Amino acid sequence: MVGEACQRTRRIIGRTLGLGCLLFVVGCATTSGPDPWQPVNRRFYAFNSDTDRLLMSPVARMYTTVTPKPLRASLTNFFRNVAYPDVIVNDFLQGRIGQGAGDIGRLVVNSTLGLLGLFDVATPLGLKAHVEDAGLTLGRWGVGRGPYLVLPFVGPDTLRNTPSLLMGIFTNVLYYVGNSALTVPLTVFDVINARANASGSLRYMRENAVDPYVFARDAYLQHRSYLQDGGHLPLKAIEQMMLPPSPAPVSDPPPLADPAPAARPVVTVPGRAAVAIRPPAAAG
Amino acid sequence: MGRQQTRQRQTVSWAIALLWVVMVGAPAWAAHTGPAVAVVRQFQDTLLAVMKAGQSLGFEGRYRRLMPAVRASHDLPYIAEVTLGPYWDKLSLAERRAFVAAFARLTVATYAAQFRRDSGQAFHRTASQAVAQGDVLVETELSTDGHKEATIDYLVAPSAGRWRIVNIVANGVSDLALKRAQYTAIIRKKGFPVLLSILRAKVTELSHGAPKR
Repeated sequence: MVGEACQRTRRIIGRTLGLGCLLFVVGCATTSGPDPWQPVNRRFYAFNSDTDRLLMSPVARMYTTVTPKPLRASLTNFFRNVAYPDVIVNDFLQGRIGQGAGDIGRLVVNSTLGLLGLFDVATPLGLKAHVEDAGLTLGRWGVGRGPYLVLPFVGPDTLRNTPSLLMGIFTNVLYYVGNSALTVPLTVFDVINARANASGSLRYMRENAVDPYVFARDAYLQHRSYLQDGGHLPLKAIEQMMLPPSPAPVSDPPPLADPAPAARPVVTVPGRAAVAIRPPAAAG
Repeated sequence: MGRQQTRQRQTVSWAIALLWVVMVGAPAWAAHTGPAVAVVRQFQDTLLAVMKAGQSLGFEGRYRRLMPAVRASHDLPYIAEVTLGPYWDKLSLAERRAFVAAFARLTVATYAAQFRRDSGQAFHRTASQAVAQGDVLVETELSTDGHKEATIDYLVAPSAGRWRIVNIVANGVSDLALKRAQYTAIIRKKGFPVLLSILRAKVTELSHGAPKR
């Protein structure tokens, strides 16, 4: 059993590294906007939206109705805890030794005092949760983001981030339990619970979006950039918005790809990225 | 002995420097960012008050209470202009006025739809700092029942002698960026009149309650 798991792990590592090399090449070679595969992405987006509307959303609503809030919170804690080794591995792959040590402490405390992770007792003790994955690690290693993707049943992604899907599987504690009678229902619960937790964000998108595809894409890419910057102040996003308009494009370059005008004055906030100066507001 | 004295002197120097920063630096910082922070705090207080009375007010009531608060705290004409990017300059004066009016109604309607009921939400201000061109970034956290839900940062800018919000960034996602991406995409593909009609239809949709999905 252990031998099989090792072999599987080796295969996955081999494939991940191979895909990583491919992504490095593709990422470096990609020079166009972040969404060159938009026609295909839009089809998958429509497919995912229909699947969600017809299947996932009703199931999640039913799940929310029958499970009390404290139970859902505990299940969320549990699923985050069994997936937390992914964060730890990527901490060390990124050279964040101190953060990795803290995250090991978090996993140990929540798995023991927190009763298998059902309760988050680590956060009040100062061991706060971090978000790290293979995509962020590759980004830290200098791999380009690559094209934006919408994957069926998964949703928004980028080419660079796809190894996270594989790595997330074999760094999850449930992968090593080896009892499918236990792991399959738990995985199904994990998916339903995650969809239920996303209900608020999805409602926000429905209420705010006038073009849901563009909304989802830009929100995802901005949030990933924010995580890539270690969750620091989003001055880059602010800088992006405070730029004066460039000439109206004839094609469809997403706004995040707008280049900064050369004449734009830039100031530096100590300890932060350079920030372009906002143009004076128009009178009236 | 000599080393110990040197260390003690260094410690005292650091302590004095720290005291100077706290005594002199902090009030100066507070005076600089204070008015901008006050705008954000007042707006968030109004949001929470409306949310607490959300069920009894209904959408119309929340909308009426929020409209003056949003107009006072947000630089809506400036935000509307930025959301259209390069297309703003191509609009006639009448089109600009129509867009700003529709944008203002949609902004308020969105708040009225989102803050519909009290679920134990609270805002906490975490920090504020002066950024480019005298603007101030006010960093806050939205929590529900004591658990952090999101980091919400407000960019507040001086405009006509007042401080007003010009961008809101939630968990690193700029509201202004999202709006500009969508609005410019629609104008590029379908034209400005279609965008205007979509914004107006969205207000109507929100006033009837978003579909449950």
